[in-house]
Amino acid sequence: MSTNTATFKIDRNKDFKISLGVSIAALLIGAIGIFQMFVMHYHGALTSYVPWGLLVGAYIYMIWIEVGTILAFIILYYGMKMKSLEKLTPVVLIAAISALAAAMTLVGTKLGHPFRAWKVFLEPSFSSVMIWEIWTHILFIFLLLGMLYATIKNKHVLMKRLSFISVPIGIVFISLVGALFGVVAARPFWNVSVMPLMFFIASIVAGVALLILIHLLFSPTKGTQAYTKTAEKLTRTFIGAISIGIIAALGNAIIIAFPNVPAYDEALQLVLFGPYWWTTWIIHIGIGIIIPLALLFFFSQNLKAVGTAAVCYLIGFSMVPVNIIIPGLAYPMSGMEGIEEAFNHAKLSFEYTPALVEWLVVIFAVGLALFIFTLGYRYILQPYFERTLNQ
Amino acid sequence: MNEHDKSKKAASDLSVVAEENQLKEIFGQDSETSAEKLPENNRKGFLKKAATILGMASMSLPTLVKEGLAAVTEDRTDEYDAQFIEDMPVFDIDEEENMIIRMQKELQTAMEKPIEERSWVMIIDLRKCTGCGACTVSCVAENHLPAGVVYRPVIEEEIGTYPNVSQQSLPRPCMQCEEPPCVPVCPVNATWVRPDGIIDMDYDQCIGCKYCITACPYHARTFDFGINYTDGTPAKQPYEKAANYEYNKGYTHDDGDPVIGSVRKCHFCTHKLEEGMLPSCVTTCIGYATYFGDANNQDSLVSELLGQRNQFRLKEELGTKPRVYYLT
Repeated sequence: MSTNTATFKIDRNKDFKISLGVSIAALLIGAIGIFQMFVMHYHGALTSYVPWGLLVGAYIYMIWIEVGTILAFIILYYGMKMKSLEKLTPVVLIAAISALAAAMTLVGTKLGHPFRAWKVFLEPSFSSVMIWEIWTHILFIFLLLGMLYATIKNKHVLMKRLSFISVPIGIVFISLVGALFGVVAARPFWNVSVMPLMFFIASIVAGVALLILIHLLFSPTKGTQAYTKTAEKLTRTFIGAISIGIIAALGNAIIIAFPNVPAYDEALQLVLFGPYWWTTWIIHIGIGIIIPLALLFFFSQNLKAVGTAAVCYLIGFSMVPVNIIIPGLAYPMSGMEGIEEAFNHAKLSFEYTPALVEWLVVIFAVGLALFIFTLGYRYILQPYFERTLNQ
Repeated sequence: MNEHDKSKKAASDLSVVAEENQLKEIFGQDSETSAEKLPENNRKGFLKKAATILGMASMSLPTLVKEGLAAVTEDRTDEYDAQFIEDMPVFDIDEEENMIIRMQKELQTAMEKPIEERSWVMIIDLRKCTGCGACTVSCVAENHLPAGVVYRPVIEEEIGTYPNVSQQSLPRPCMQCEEPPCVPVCPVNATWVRPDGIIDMDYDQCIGCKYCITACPYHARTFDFGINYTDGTPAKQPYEKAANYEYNKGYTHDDGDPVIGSVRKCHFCTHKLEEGMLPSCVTTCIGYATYFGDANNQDSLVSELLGQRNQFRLKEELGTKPRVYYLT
């Protein structure tokens, strides 16, 4: 037990300092982008014809991580009775809250008037899917904070009840994020009924991947048989989740491509063979699917390989939201061909390559997530772990 | 000298003689002597004769040009072209000016009614549109649109393949849809359909999420990134500092102005309508191709035009019911 305690007890000042140092460096570098966005009103490479880009993509990705981790954890812990995950509860919650902070930063910077964000609460229009998405997100945030409180205070019944409520709320929320795109009839690439389901699946797979990493890095049972067994179960779940994701993605691609209607498959052509084909084939499919699957199939007993597979998946899937958003926007809509040449300006273009300022904001958001996780682990989780182990 | 050389020299002599005779005919004397004697005894005569030659040439020039053009165009003027020219609508300028006055009077009559009894529509006759872009420019000027913002671009479309080609210009204002996809997606009610059909924007309410831009099937909404034409120059010029009068408010496009960071769109020049004036794009159209008026007035010009068969709306299949019609 002393070994286990030593493993997860964060007297690893070196790790803490490195993590804190990296996060502060990211925050400082990214602050340049935040300054440019908020004070100098830079909008990066976005145009009126491609009004959403990297920042919205990164926001979606962080949402997938935030909700997916919680949903995967609750389903596996309460639904599939993986009791060994219990000790990971606060780590999972802190990870989700960190992703949430990054997501909120990203969504704030993408607004033209970020200081008017309060209007979505006080002057909402319920005909907009965006309002439902925002409000369910707020509800989910309260549930997250409630679950963290219940965990820290060892209120198991409250934790269980909040967890049960958060599952439908989380599913509705993540589906609404998908519906945000799905309801836009003007964009054939987005306007598919499976979009909410796709977002739910993507979120769960990302959540399972992060759960594996959390288990491998932070489980207090490290080195025991239970630890290995849990890792194996998570690995099998991960393989299953990726497989379902592949089937869903292929099904969606077939539905779009096979009717052979150019207006519909133009975006798919952009995704597969456009100027950023490499984000799909190399990052998404290569690093995000083929490498993880190969590692999981051939080295499933090797925990380092499983961890690498999870990291690869999380890196690879970072490009998926961007590859949904940009191709859906980066060409003139049917009947509007020639609109780009009708009035020339850089901001009236379908060309979009994320600008440095956008990358800086993403670095800031990731740095913020890491900063919150590092501090949360040190000052909330460590005392909690020490207290529970002493008990 | 052989026989061949002799005949060649004889032919050469003959041509020289012919040239000399031609000059004598013109100048009435030997060309050699005329050249020698010209300075001292007959400058006036020379000028007179030269003028005669030029006059004759100029008189025959139109005939030559006409014949040349006829030869060139003969091949290209086929029956189709003839029919096309015959079918081309011929407009009486006075009548067109009256048309503008008529529309303005109808507009003023409509403005006397309650707003919910008006139904504004715009009709664009594509046969009359020359693609000059005057409407685009006048819209930019009227609304003081900054760089990167446009309300009424004119889309140029090339039809067919060479040599069977034609070109069409399609002005694209906001369609002011009866069922606009851009309105319900707004999370904060910053855009809405007015009772008279115009879709309004509230720059003080817009949070700049740009969801409406993605939802519009006509690319009719643009985002104000806060760019000025004079960015990077020593000073912002007066034309960029002056307030516009969109929605009867004066937006100056200064830092912190609510219009910056908001989504913008065509509004049929509501500020002009309220003063009894037609939208800028209507009055500045050099081909009188744009009509505007109240469709609820059955005697209005737009009502008459809406009764024609040759009208269509963009993307009818979406069911958005645009208030902008095109005539073909």
